[in-house]
Amino acid sequence: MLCAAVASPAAASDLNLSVESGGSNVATASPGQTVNWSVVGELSDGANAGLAFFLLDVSFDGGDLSQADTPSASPMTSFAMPNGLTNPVGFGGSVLSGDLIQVGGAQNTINNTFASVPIGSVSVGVASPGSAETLVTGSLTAPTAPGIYTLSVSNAMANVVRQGETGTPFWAVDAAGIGDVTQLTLEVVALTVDVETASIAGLGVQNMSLDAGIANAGRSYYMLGSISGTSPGLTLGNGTHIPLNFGPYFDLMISLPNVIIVPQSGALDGVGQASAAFVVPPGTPTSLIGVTFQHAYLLLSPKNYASNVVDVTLVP
Amino acid sequence: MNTLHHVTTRLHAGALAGLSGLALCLGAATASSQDALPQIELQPFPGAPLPGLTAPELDRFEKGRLEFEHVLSNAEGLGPVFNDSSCAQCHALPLAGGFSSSAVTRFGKAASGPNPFDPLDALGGSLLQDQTTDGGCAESVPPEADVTTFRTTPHLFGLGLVEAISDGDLLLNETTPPHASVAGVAHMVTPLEGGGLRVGRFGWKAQVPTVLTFSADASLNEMGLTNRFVGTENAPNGDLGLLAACDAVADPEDGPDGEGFDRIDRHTDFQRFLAQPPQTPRNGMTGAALFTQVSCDACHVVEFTTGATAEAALSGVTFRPFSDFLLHEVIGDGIVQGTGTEMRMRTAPLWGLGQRAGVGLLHDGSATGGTAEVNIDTAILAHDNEAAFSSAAYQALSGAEQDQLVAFLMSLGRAEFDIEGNSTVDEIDWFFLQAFGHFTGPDLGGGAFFGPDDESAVADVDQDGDFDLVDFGYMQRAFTGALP
Repeated sequence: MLCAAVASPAAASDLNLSVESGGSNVATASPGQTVNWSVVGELSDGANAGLAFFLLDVSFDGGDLSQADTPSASPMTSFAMPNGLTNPVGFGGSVLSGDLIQVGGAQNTINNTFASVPIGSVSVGVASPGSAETLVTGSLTAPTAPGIYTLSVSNAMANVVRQGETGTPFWAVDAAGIGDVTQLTLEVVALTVDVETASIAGLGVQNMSLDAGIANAGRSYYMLGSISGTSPGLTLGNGTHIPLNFGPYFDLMISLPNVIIVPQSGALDGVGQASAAFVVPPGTPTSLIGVTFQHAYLLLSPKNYASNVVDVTLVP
Repeated sequence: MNTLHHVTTRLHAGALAGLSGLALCLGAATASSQDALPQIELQPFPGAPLPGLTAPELDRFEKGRLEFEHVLSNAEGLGPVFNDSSCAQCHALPLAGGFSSSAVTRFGKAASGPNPFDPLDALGGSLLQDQTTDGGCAESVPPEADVTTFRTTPHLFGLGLVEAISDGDLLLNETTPPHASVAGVAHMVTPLEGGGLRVGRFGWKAQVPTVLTFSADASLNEMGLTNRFVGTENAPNGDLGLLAACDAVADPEDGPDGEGFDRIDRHTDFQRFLAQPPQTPRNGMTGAALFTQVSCDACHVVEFTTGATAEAALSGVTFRPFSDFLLHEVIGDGIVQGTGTEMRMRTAPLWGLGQRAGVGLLHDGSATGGTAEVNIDTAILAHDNEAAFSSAAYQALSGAEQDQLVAFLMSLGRAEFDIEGNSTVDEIDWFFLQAFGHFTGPDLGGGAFFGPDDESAVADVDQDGDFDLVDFGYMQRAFTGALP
């Protein structure tokens, strides 16, 4: 049958992929921070002699990606030119509209000696079960805007060396399926805290670290608060969304500045950072035990940047 | 007033009840349908089994191949007159089941006045067996014959698919010809294994309706192996005395093996389960449109879909044989077999044409002596009678268009990545593809690097106008290495 395009035919082995940062599929970064990422692969079974070829696209909904790294250590150097075969632009893929296209490469399973590439020897057992292999590494710049972003792998394809192959006269390969793919979730936070509770009796303090990234260095900030929740929040006329609902606490903070959070306003330093603190006022009624307060800050002039929300819950 | 107390007094009770923590539940995103690239099924190589055969069917295919390649000994029933001693000695290129440059000879006495064509059965006709197990039994074209012709050895790829075309589908082109100038005739014959009349579809005169009949017929007439369907030997030039002197093996010479399969059953399994020849690129060549424009497809019907068979791999398969399997008066060979009169020949299936074009084309191999492309051109120009209009339309094309049409015909039989055209994917193919700049990398929206008419298209499996890492992944899978 000609022209039979089918989706993911049954294959003996699957390549499972995990997009990670710091060994986890969930990571946190401050605005503008450089985030290292990797794609880790592991074959689903041992019915093969390891990964022979793979490619994948990488995209990030928080901004443009730059080319992934060229491997520098075995066994992944077997997949990069000149040992292996990649697209002419290299192992790290082509950058297209901020996405990476066709990252990866093939080992020299064809035992090529005539053409200029690939010229390496084949590494067997790559990404075999229990020996997950870091297939790709790269880095990205976290977006300035707080939020949750995803670094995604798509359009993956893989071959495996056939079990029992000796490489003579060449290494036969089989198609592998793409199994589980776990993407990387990256949370960008511009406001962090040291503790999540504050004692009424002890007049507790929650220290806040503001970090809006170097792109916002020197700008003025203003802390806001809510005990009415974060949704729907407030959207300013310029479209800036403040994730705090307007209510009595919001109103109070504006009418009585620098009482609950000190300093409630100020200027970010030369790298876009500042510090503030939530301080439990003397005489706070114990009826507020268990109440959670949310805080965020807004950058001014123009009012075009709101941080994420942090919580503090009052305890005895 | 305590600041926070002040706040609580202004709170709506419901608001407090609705407060909840802001802890983010960050769950890692998991797989979606876009994670994997849609996969393309590579076309089988010439000589490979059909995709989708079950394990028992593959076992039968492999055992059939061994029998197909088995060289018969005299004691096993070879001869006494024969054309070759195994199926694979003629059906050899590029692998067992393929074609060869060898041809057989047919002879007879032409019709004259009230006397119809005489196949000279009594003198060993109409097929000459030009070899013998005993020099004294050699057969030759008798002096009574005034018609002699050669018939070349076609490949056998995809025979099971052809067998699985319903008679109704074939007869449709007889009852409603696709072009006013053609008048195909179905050759209705009874299979040797029994059953009613069926549309013949194998052989140069479409005189054979099933693969089993073909196996039984060829076993006797090409190798001298009598079998359960044809149990009487061919006497050398019809001489029963010579036959008695030269044939020491009791008939039928074929018989069941340990699993109950006769040799002809093994031959049949192998041929029925052979995959169809590849076609690369699969679609989009300009010459394909010209093929239709000049009405080649009036007889060389492009596509059929098989009916239901016992094997899923043969059922409901759409394939491209480029034949209607009907008899047409185009170029006759002077021989009569059933309704296959002197002028009628079966429309030759064009699949695999590019592989054998260099050896020679037409039933007698007379379109030969040039390059493959020149031989194709010669064969087209030789089309006459019913096909004269199409040949004329071809000649009316510009030179460039003729080249495009011929290039399309050369794509029939070409395996993916086989830029050398030797039905392998090996180091040399990669050398040519890499060293001559065919490996482009992905098209990133700047426009395709090449189209289906370009040489690079042999490696563009996904036909997206580039030869990139995706395509190389398929090449890695398709790699065969050099033939042993």
